[in-house]
Amino acid sequence: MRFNVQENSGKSDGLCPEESRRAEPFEPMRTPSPVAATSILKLVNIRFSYRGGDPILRDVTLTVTSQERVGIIGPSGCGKSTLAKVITGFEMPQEGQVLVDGQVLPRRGFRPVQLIYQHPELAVNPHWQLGKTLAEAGDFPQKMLNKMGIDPAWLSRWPNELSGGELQRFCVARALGAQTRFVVADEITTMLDVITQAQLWEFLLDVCNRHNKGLIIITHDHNLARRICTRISHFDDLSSATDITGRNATAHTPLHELRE
Amino acid sequence: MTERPNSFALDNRAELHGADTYTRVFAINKRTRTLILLAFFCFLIAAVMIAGFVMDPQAYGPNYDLKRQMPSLNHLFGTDYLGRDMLARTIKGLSLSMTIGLVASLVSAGIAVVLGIASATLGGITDRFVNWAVDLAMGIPHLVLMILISFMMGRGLTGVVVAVAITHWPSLTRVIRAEVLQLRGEPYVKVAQALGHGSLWIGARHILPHVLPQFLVGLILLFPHAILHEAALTFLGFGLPFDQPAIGSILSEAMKHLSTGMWWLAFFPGLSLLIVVLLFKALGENLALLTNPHSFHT
Repeated sequence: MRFNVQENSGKSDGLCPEESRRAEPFEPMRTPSPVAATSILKLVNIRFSYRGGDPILRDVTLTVTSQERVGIIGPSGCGKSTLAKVITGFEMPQEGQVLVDGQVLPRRGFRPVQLIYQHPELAVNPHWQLGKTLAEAGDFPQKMLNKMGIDPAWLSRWPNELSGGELQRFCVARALGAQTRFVVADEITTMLDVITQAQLWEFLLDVCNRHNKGLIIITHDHNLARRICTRISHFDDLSSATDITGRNATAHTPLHELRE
Repeated sequence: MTERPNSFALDNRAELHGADTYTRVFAINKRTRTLILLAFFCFLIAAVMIAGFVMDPQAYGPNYDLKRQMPSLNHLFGTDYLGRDMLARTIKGLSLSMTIGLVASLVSAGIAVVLGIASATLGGITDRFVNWAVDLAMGIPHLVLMILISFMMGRGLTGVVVAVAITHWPSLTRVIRAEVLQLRGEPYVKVAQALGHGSLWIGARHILPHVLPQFLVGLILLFPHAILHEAALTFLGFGLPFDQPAIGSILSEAMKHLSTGMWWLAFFPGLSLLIVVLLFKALGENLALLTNPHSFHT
């Protein structure tokens, strides 16, 4: 039995009430973004350890342009997710800097590098209907939501009424605001079925290509990486000095472009 | 008859379907039931409080013609050795006790919120100080601390209110601190930061709505504690004077007359106190049920 407070099935546009009242939603995906030029993300000698522990990342260096799709592959526990958090400013490195176009990541305000989590169910507020979660990141045009496979009715649902794949679409959409220059995808499709995986990647790649956003893909899945990445780096351990763009990286033409 | 389909199977299904819609229309779901209960409890409590305030002092004044009456239809709770109607005294007493409880739990919950949030968000030395204060306050036997404070404040109404108000915050402080700490680590709060929202925005939209139910439930569950402690203080002689009909002083006075066989002096006021406390407890627990998303949206 469900105990929904709000009756919401009858609404035509399916948006939550405060959403639908808004006059003219601007469309971040179609307006040419002010920083549509190619951006460069640089990690300079990053060193990071969790409180008092041994360093997880030591002297990690990485350069990514917004036209690239870099795959980072490594075994469990090698520091991939920590790297993702450091790149996106969720954790502050003890040494080194994360630079976007020469600027240090802002501590306040919108961060141009956005993280998509592995577990979407933890990344949305359980007390919010999903329309509100989406609105937190700005306004998204209906067309984009359709393309992502987000059913308008989902906007008035609670997070525990949707599956992981459905929630992950919201998390992906949320990270793709107009100001986003780079997206770090931390095993975002690991727990999804293959059809949903394909749909999500299709969409993500499309948006990133069209709006010149760089992608950093953290995964265990070699086939996935081979298919979508322009560059793949393998790691055993990020706690020894590593230049991700250096010798470990393999330039790579993604299968998905070969096919086209 | 005419609208029924011919096929037997279809007929059966139609009936099942009918029964289903019937229950759906007329059944009251858990949420509604809880809301009705809440409204009923609130009504009872408000009725007692208001009745106590607007009561004519004559109603609980002495009447020397009707001393030591057993409970009867005229005097449901009986009368005492001065001929005072115990029902009126009990209502007046409960009303006073509940007012004290309300003030005390509001002040305590206020302290708890401020300390809990400060300790969770500021961290460092503030956090250590608050934890130390919580341990300190919890370490001293509660009743002894309250007697001490009440005595220092010169007993009476002020003594009781201050003593009860400033000793009930430690456990709620811990709850709120833990809640805020946990929320600050939640991925969706971190995402909100990454999306450029300030700490005030996040505090108001993400954290406060999560803490508010805890706060309200904590507030209401403090209430019975506060009332019981007020009664205990007065009963022990460190609280309100005897001429003020609070539930504690009524019970304390009744104790002296138990041996003369006037059982109703202690029985009915004691029972009323118990019922009020249970009402508040049920109120708090139902509210907790209502505000916990996992109990309703699954």
